[in-house]
Amino acid sequence: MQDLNKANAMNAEAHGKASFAENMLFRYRMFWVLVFAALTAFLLYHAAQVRPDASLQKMIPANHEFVQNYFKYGDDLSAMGNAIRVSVETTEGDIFDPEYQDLLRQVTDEISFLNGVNRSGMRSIWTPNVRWSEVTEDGFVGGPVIPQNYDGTEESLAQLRQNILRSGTVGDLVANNFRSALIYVPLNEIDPETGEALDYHEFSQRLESEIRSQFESENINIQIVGFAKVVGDLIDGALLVGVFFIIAMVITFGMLFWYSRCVRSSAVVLLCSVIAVIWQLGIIKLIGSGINPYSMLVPFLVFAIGVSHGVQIINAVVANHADGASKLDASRLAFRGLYIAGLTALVSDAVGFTTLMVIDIAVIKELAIAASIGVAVIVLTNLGLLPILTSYLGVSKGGVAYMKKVQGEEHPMFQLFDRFTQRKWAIGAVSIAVIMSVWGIYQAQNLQIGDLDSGAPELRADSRYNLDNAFQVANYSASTDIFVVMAETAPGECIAYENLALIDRFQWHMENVPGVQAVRSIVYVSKLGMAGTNEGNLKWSSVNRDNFIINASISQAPSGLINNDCSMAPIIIYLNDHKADTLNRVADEVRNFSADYPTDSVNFLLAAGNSGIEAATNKVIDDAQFRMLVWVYGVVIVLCFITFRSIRTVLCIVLPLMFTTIMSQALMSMLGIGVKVATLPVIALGVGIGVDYGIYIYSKMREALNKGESLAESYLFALSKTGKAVGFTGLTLAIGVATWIWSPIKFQADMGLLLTFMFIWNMLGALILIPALACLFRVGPKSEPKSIA
Amino acid sequence: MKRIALAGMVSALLSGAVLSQPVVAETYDPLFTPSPTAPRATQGLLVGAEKFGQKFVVVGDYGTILTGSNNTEWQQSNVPTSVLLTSVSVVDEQYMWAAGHQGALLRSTDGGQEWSMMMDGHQLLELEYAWLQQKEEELIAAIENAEDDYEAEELEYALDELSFQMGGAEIQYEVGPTKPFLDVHFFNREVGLAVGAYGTILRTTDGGQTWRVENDAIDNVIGYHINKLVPGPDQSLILIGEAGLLARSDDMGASFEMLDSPYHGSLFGALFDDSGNLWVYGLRGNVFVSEDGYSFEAIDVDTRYNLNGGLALSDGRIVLVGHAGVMAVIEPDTMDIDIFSHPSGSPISDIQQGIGNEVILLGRAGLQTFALPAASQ
Repeated sequence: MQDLNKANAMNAEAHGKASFAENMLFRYRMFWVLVFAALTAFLLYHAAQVRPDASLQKMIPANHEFVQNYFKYGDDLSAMGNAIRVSVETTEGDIFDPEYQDLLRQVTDEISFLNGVNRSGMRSIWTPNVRWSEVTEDGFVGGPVIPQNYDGTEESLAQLRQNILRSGTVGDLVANNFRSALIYVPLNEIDPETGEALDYHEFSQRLESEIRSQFESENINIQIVGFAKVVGDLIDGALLVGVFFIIAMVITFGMLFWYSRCVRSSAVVLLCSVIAVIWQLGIIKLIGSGINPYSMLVPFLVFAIGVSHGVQIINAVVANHADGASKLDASRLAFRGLYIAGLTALVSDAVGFTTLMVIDIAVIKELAIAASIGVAVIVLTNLGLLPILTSYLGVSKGGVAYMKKVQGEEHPMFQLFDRFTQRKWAIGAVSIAVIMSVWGIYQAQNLQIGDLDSGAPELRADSRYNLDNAFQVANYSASTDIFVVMAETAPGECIAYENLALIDRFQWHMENVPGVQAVRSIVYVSKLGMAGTNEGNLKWSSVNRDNFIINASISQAPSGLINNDCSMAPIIIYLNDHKADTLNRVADEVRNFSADYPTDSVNFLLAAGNSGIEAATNKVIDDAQFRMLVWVYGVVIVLCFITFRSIRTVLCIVLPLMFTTIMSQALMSMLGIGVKVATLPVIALGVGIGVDYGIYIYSKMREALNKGESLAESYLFALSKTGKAVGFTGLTLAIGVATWIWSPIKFQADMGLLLTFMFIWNMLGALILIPALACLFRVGPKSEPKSIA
Repeated sequence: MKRIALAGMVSALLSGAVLSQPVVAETYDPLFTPSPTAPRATQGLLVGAEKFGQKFVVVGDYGTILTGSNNTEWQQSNVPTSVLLTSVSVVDEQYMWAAGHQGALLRSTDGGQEWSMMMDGHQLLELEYAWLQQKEEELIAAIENAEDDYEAEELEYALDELSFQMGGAEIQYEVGPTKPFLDVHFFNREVGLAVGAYGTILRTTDGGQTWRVENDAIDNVIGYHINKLVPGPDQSLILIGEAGLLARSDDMGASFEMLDSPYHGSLFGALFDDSGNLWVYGLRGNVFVSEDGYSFEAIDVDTRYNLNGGLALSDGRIVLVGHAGVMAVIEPDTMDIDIFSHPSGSPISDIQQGIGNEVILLGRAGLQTFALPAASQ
């Protein structure tokens, strides 16, 4: 082995002369160290200002027709949409208790003081706008739900109970089981006084500190549900990612040390990789991009890729030291031997990442850009800065001694993997892979598009938010899967009879679609109002042709059901779930209705609401899924072909990758993880990074084959040169992302799980299937093509 | 792709030819658009029902008519309109009538499967306008023949009032049909009445070929809504409505006698129990019973919800149903009253008896059932 290393070192020298890049780098070592230090300080300053950003607009496909329509009426819809619902539950008795009512009043008051709350729109049984009314012989009578002379006595509580029953708020503001009451809190997206946008994170934290922790007690629970809370919890969860990064760093350092037994070089690799992350974050801040819960993955990948390339450099530096080179020469030779290969591998990573640009969703594009920047930065930090630093620092004696010791050893695993170059073992391995692929393809048939879990799918099913959500869904008549169709009319015509009549029919059409729970719109209110103004008689519950009567029927309509210039009426469709099938069916039925009832006067526009946006996202994901795979595999195949100029080689490298892709899809299907914004990029990342192993192994194997060695010998050679590096790289990458599995954000956990699986599976696939396939494809030494091991 | 292109060419060739017709008129008009087939028809708003044979016919929103029973499938009928249908009257196993919004009257002659439009709101408007014109002519003639100035003045005043009404009718004509029929009753295949909003009473004696406006058959100058027609023993008919409106006919609706109403609020329903007692009920849980049909006694049913529908069960008990899913079960002999509430809590409009003590409830939540406890012996 030592001979081989020497040969390699000589080979590098034979490659000649120091390249221009090498001379530039090493002649002005101090200059470059200072430049790197200055740039790092500058970029650290900017990186420190990066704030997690969970903007809804970036997570949705902004160019999709649905989203464009939603943007068109976004302001009109916000009056209806952005609200939180706070329920106050008593675990002892029911809400007709003076202490409970006192608490509910306090909570209502406290919430109204929070910044961002639209006070006049708030509704609870303690707000004066919630009233009961009744038709009597003398006409309407009514009043606020809380009796005027409420004093907490038995009589006033009995009066309150009666008022609640006739106010129609059961299921809305009072739970069906009377054990909790709800406060509906509309939010101002833009503060009307200061003009500032609502800070969701701060708002969410104030809900926790000023409402939840202040009022919750042994027998009082508070549940908070709403988009603002989801975003707040997302950002909270995202901040935890910082902790994961530190954990990943500690573990990686431990592994580096275990690998090199040299604290100095371990620390240098870690330092350069952290510098790469700082640069990457600083640059995205400078180009005006942010970091979102998806692109937070990028620093982890940059760090892990940085470490894995750093290891190669350190490996070479230590080996050169072991061969007796000076500090400077050891580093120079390491650079000379690796910069081309490193550059190629990094370029292929970057190209792999850029295929993500085919997905027209801002967060994924940001992720692609951030990852490409990160990889480009690694070229500078880990191929440039790292050898310069080692040329100053050198390596410890312990590290050199360890290198000398292990260089002579052959890892027992190598023999195991080498068996796969034998026909019997090769057939076995490939057969198992084929059987597993068939099973995997069968499993992947059940792979769903989109999110499958109920509640806020961004968060875990057992997160506080989703438990709160489940509580409110169980106790109040509300679904959280909302699909909004916008009925667009000429200005002023939104409540014209002909239009309302058509919307009415549309509403009934949609109510008959499987998966739809209920449909609400201005028409629903008008029909209720018609019955209401006719003494509650259901036989009057119909839209009237007379516009004066229509106006009267909607005089009590809640805001947001028509827009200001009466050119749009949202139709709110409550769904059972947000499975892709359900969303597609709803969207299709909307189109079917428009086709069956062609008219110039009403345009049923798709779509808003969380489910409407999700339908668009699913569509974009579904369309991009195949294209992205074609692109990423296309790129990988082209790169492999350029490097090796052999179809058989390309097959040997790419088939194991495809096997991993199939298996990860089967895994997703088995774990109920859908193809979504978070998981689609993972497949591209897995393939893009996974191909590195194949390239490393195959290039070394080929080196030996070209010298006329048998396949078994060549593979053993490749393993001895790169086996450990491949194993180490696989483990570093896996550990870097595995910490994500514990993220409170469901999709980050999904990403972490899948990437970990793909990195390890790709590594094993490369180590086992590449030799097996090479054997079966009769890859042999160049000189004797017919001889097979 | 090829098929689409071909289809496009074919339709292009045919455009302008006889075959090219739009799917529906440019402006959607529910009055003349057939009722949509709805898988969830039993879950929409259903407001009226009648029994025929072992089955029921149920009517509701979007022109929905269903026939069937709870131990068979419910079948949706073919109905040429999509307006809210408010009531149904079964004549025999074949003939039945349904009434609804925008002046829709429908008839089926095949046991409720196919329905045809016998009257629509436009015809109703013309009918009413012609009726007003005829009244005007009669008044003008009467004024000419008036015996003294006093009578002439009275008649002039009535004429003024009438021309005001005619002005209103002309405006209505512009707006289109707005008036709902709220009930329909046929005594046989020929003679029937349809009543509704603003005191509308129509009567036919030729199976709906021609209709006469009979609004003046009762004393209802203000034009209170007429909510219900309830057939009683010996071809009698009880008419009830808004503001305690209560009248009785013993000649198949040709003439009515006003009854002294026990209540000045709205009455929504009436029924005869096995002993021939007349029950009327309505707003805010008000219930009254009369043995002779003339003098009423108020019954204190412990609910403040509106009572919209009622039924005499086969065991003699009476069930009144109303808002918030309330069901008041009354034992007429002992006047024991039990109040039940359907778990859905949604308003109920009408009730029919299913098998045994199971009742079929119709209302905002569609068709629901409820098992009443057996009568205490």
